[in-house]
Amino acid sequence: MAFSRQRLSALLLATALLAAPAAFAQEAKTFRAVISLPIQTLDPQKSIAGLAGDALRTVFQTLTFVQSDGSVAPMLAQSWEIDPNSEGLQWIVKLKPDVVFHDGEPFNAAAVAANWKRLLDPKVPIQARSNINMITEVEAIDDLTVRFTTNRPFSGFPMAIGHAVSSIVSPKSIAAGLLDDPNASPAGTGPYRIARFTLPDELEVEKFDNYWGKTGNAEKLVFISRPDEQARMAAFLAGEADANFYVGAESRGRVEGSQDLRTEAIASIREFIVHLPMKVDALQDIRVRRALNHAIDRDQIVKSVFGGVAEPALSAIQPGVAGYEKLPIYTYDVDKAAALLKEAGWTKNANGVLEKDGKPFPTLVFMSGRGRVPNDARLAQVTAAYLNQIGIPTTLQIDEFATFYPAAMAPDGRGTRFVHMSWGFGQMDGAAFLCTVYGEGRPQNFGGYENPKVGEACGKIDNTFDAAERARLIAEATKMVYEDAPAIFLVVPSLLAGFNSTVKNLKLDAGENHLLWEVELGAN
Amino acid sequence: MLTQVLKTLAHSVISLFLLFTFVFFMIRIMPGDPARLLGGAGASDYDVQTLRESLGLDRSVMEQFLIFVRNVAQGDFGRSIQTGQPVGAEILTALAWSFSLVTAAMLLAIAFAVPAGVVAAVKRNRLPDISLTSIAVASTSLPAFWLALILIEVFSVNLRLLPSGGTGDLRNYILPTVVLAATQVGLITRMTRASVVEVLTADYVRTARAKGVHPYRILLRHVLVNAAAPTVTVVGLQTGLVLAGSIVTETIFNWPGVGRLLIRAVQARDYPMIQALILVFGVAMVTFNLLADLLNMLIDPRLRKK
Repeated sequence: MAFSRQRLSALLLATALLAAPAAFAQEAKTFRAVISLPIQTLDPQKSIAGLAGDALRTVFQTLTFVQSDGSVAPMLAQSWEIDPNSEGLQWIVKLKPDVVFHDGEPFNAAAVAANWKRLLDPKVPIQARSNINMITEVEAIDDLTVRFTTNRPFSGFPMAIGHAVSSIVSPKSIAAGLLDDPNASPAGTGPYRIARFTLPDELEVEKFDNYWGKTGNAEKLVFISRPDEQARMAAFLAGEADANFYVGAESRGRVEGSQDLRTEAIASIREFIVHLPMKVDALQDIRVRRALNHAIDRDQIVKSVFGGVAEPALSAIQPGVAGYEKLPIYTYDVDKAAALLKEAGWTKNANGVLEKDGKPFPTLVFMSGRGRVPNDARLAQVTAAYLNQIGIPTTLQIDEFATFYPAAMAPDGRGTRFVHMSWGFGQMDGAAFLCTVYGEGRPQNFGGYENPKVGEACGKIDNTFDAAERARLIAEATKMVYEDAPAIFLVVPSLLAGFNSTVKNLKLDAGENHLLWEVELGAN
Repeated sequence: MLTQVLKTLAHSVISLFLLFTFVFFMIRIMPGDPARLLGGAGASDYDVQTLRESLGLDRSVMEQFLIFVRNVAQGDFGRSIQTGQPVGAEILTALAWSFSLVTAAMLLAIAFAVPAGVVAAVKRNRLPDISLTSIAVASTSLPAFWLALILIEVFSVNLRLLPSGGTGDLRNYILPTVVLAATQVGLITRMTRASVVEVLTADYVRTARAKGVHPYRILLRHVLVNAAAPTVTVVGLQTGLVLAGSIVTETIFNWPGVGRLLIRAVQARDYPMIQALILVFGVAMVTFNLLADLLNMLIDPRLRKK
């Protein structure tokens, strides 16, 4: 009998030990995600958007929130409107009442003004300040009303105050210098508050009981940085994470082949384009530029370079933003490309190089960065090969991104070489892409494209405060640029995330503002 | 002996200063603008200029150098361009992680390689020698990333016995330690084997054998002590190199050490971090060399008299 009791006790103990982790996991409801970027700071105003910024959005909120379709929703602001007597220079923002920071401080107009005092202070290095640098003054009118003044009419204001750079932090945390201390826990108004941070690898946040809105059922969210794709996938497959942001195309089959795992994809806000060198005589002919766009087999690129995890680019701007419309004009048609080139006087010589009036097409440098975005270098190689195929000789120059980017940005040589770049603008505003990448004289206009109509359109967009009309103007200007073909519009890579079967209700967002706080964890 | 140590230290200080000066100017010749990279793709020229000023990068290179030398002399390595945190604190944390991993890996490598080298030498050209040397060479020849991925696949993904990365507890040490140790086993085994073979053919060993001294006593008292110096030197040198060079292992296992810190710093052109890391690597190399020399002096009385 004594023996049986011992055995029984041992059995019970073993059962308890085995059951403990499962019971704990169920009780604590912890959502773990491996992410592809390091978390370099807890300061949301300094964190460049993307996954690290997305993790911080569970803690720090913005006045507005730009949704996946480009529309603007209220967040900490209840409403916003342009002051009709301000000549388009002042916005009145009404704040949500009864909101408190994690440290117990009230969220009000004074807190917003204190944040903007910091954001507008040039001594504070804010990387993404260009998204908000049209705002010059912010003042509290009453406890829940704030007036924003801009230096020019700026209709993109509702989106600018939804950018991660405009995140609101407790004034007490700002004053105490907590944003610069990786061991501190600065307070926001979000559904979760900082529990633990290991720079730059792990951030754990826990549910904030006095949160004003609705959340999912996860008590804790843990973000584990694994920049190496294979290491990230290994952690996901080993069950160390419930979600993987993001799965590489090569690993897709492995995830989808598992019964307990699944993938979900969404087109990103990033678009690969090749800026055409507009100072080269041959490329000043619109027929040549259009021919280049017809010479690229985007569907094949999506299949072979991106393993299906991308979409052909069908516009001059990124999808999912205000003003985006699909314009399937540049279909893959080699005959059409050849006809357009012939019409422009270019025919292939015996060496397969285009020639006009006995002069060959000049050999141009094709610049690209490597390693910033998955597949960037491979895409550059394939695109250069398509150009060579139709008779445009190129010298491929692929450098590490840190070397490539300043070289592409340098004014010397602008407009004399092909520049392959992937653009994505976190403020989710089509006008930001359009006016920055194709705007005359802008440093990001790598091809040196000069079209005064773009500048005029951008001015008009900034002065149009009706959201629908604004979107229409962006779409109209985008179509004009797309038809003018100052670039080869290549592909839009998708964001492919992996989840295990416990993860429900996680909405992916093109701008990587995935609604992590709404995640529901269920049973396997 | 003290004079020798002081001389070595003096030489080291000069070498380190030259190294650090060279690196300071070289990284500024490298293409790439940290302010531009930090600002992100959409940053305007004004934003980039403001960032440049806040980072002190608008000053002349010589001015930056003098400021840096002055600050380093006061123990201030500046702040990281990426994180805004003091470089010294970030490096110290990373160094502690790297040091613990490298120590574990070198101990594991020594525990396998030294006995393997001795056995291979004693049984040279026979099956144990061929097998052990082959294993050692094979382990060194395997690329670290490949071995790491295979181990992760087997022990983390399939068996779910060990974590695939990170630094949770002692179990997190196992896989990276094995990978790092594997890269060192071949060299230490071969070095030990060669030294032992050389000593085994020495006159004093033959004399001892002729006098009928027990083979184990010969091995322990005469052979190992005399054959230790080259192995100790190699271990010392390799420890310094591995400390700075375990970038692949640290990246795959997401180990927050100095190798991973360096690669990120280079990608972001984080000048203060690169400068300080190179200086730390230099100091590490000098320290481990010095330790190896001191250990050799302790083992071999002839070196103390030189």
